[in-house]
Amino acid sequence: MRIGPRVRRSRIAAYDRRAWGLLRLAGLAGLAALAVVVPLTFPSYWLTIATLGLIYAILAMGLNLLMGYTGLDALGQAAFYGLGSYGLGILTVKYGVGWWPAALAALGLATAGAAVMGLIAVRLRGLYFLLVTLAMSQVLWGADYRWGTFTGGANGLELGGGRPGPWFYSDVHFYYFALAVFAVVAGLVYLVIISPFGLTLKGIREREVRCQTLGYLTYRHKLAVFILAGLAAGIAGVLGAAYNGIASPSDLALDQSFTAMLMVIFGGSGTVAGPVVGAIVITALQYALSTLWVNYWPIILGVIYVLATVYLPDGVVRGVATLSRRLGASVPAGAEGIADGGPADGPASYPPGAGIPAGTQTTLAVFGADRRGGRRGQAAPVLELTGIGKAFGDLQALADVHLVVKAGERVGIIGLNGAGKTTLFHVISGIERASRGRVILFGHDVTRAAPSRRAALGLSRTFQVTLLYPHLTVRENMEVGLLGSTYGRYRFRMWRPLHTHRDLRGRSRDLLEAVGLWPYRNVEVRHLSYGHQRQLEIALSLAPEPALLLLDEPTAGLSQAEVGDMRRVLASLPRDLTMLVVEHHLEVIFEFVDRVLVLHQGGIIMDGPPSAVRADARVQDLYFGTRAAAHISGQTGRTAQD
Amino acid sequence: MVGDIINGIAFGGLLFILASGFSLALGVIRVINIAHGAFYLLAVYLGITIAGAAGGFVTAVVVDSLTVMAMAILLQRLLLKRFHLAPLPQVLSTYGVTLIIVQAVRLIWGGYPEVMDTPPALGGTLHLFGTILPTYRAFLIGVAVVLAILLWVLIDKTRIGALVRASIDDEEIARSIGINIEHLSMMLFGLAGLLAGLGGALGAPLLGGYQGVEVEILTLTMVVVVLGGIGSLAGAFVGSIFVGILWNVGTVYFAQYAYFILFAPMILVLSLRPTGLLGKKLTIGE
Repeated sequence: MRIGPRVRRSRIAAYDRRAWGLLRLAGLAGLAALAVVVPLTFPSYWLTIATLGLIYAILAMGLNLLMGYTGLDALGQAAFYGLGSYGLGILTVKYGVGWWPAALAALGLATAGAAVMGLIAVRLRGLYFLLVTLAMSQVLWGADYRWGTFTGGANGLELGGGRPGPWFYSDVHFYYFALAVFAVVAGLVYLVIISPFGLTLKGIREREVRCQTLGYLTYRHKLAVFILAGLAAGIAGVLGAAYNGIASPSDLALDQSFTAMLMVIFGGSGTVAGPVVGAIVITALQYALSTLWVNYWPIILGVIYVLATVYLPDGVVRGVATLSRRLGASVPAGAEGIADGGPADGPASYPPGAGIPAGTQTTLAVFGADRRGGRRGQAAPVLELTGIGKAFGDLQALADVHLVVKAGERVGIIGLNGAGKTTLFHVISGIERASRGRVILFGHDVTRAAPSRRAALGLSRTFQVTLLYPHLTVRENMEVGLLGSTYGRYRFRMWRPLHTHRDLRGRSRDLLEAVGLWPYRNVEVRHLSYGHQRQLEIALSLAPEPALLLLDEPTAGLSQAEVGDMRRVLASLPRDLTMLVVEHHLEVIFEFVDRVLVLHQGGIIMDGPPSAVRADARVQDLYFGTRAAAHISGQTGRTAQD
Repeated sequence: MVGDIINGIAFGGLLFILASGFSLALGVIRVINIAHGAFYLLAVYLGITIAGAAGGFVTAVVVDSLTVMAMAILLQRLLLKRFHLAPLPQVLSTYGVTLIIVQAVRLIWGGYPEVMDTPPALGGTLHLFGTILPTYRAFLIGVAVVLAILLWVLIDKTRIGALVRASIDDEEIARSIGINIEHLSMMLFGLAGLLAGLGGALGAPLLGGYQGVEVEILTLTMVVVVLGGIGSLAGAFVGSIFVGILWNVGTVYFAQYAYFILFAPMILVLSLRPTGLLGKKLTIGE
């Protein structure tokens, strides 16, 4: 159990955080001072490295938003760097446009390019995303290379100086210019990271499907961040061309995309400082070693790629943080939590595993605050399934299922493994599409609609296999849920830190207190006990204030004591919330629902009040037979999955 | 034009030799090998040296195939084994390997563009469909067809093939019924290396080696595999011929747009049907 020490740690966390915050502030001030004095104290050789390092840092910070925070491994950032550098070059040289308007237009070009390419790319995932971004940047590279009359072809395009004005001709001045641009970009990127939008990106990185069932149109977030990264690359391209005085095909080459990626990985993908560290170190190595050993530099660089991926998969920054923690420096767990709302204000030591505090039954009414539609007594049914069929190849998982659920009803679904219970939930929530039949939700035909559309209508669900955001804290999990639904108006907000949104913060606190998870708010979910994860799973599904809730085996895999906690959570759910529950603990289901469906081989064989189902001979034959046997062994006749 | 198309088919044959191994590695053991193009480059220069010094095209083909196979196995054992189902580290580390191989080749052979002399037995020309076709190109088409049949028999008709297909369908299950995935991975990656070496030896008289060929071969291979569908041999065959023709005709008639002509279909296919024309759905790195 890792929870105990972690919670105890929160007692000193307030002090620690203040100290750590001061330390970081001092560190930043030191670095800033160093950056300012570089041109005064170091040889000009270092000035070149510093300038290029800053330019590459801008490129890498943008890529880090994609790779580190959204989980999109883009291998085509060279495209947008090149659009920036060639945009500036072509406009100033071929069309005689002034530097500043040309630079602005070049940034517009990079942004537009990212928007167009992003429309295609963000629909894909994993390897396919990587391949399509690579392909797109190669198209630009090829066009540039062969389109010699316009772009200068293999020789590149000389900018004839390329600097904005006489003041910038001095490399020292240009360095300060690059430093200023870098500082602005870094500040904006940091703001994005700690903004509500930044949190939604992390949610997508961790579990995109869950985001969709919480009401996110995830591709919009991915497109937005793709454009941001493209813009950052464009800024780097404009600066690079201005500094080097040339836009060259190597700006657009595969090498450039890989270099950006290496910088992010080397420094630490998904950390604020990582890409900056990576960019500066790799640039310095490149300049120091490629002049020293011209012939061996590519080999050394190759070895760096290999060693970095094998030995530094988490990057230098995380490595240093771990090391300094081991050496006894007081780095609080989750150093990112500094911007996180001040001192810990919950009960300092909370007995681990105590679960739901007494009196929870009533406080859970917070869930009932403001639900859309679907209230008891409404005429239209909440959910209507007609003739639903679902086949996976030859396997008929569901066949001709008809079901009408009225507002306020609580319906239990039981059945043996493989009966189609989870598939039914998938079809209702849109994770799977029905092969036949129609799904009507709150009067809208959603048979072909995406999960996010169904969530927006007021549907929410839990998953049989817990589907949370493992590397986010409990509070962040809850806030991703809130941003997907009731606080959806904040989800694209990039300019204000998340913790300044008091209403959102307060709401997440209320919800977490209601399920008794508030003391664990700063614990990453992967460190939570399974029982707590199941409770959070339910709390998360309640965050959108749904009008229809699907609970998929809320007690699966829980210990006897945890089942007790869960029953209390279930009992405290608002009475007028319409619910479908799949559950193997029959005693739980019979005390909880008004109506029970029995699913067998993909069809409903019984539909009635619990008492009738309990007495039905077929059901006893099918289900209670196995249950009686299983009950003796303390199990519920069930393997890990349906 | 007909001549260009036939030449394109011959180039497509070479692409199939190179792409089939890449596609199998990516489809079955989910390894994306960025160094595939560098393997080709190495095999070209090594092959030219061997054919010149140690006598004969056949020796060059054998030595190339075996050398690159050994390198591939080494790469798999030392590096790629660690990055199972993780495309990002695979891509980064094999890119590092690419840099190492390419620079080593440059240091050893000087970095000049070189083409192998066409083996005398395959010199000459054929008259076909009213056009003249160099015998060597016809030979390449023949090799590609024979290889396609051999690989099809290997994958579809043998026990090893059954294991491979099982692993494409569901690796978890394949693992749980006792298929030794580690062993299979090594063999398959070795096969992919062998095919890259073979492609380098056979490509040496046609395309040869020059600066940047490793990236060109890599991107062409990727386009083929993505178009045809990752892991699908039939897809790789159709894709190779298609890309071969497109590339050949494109560079002759629309040199400025050759890359666009090449990548536009790939981007289109990826955005409409990410699994490729003949591929199955694979989940890699999601």
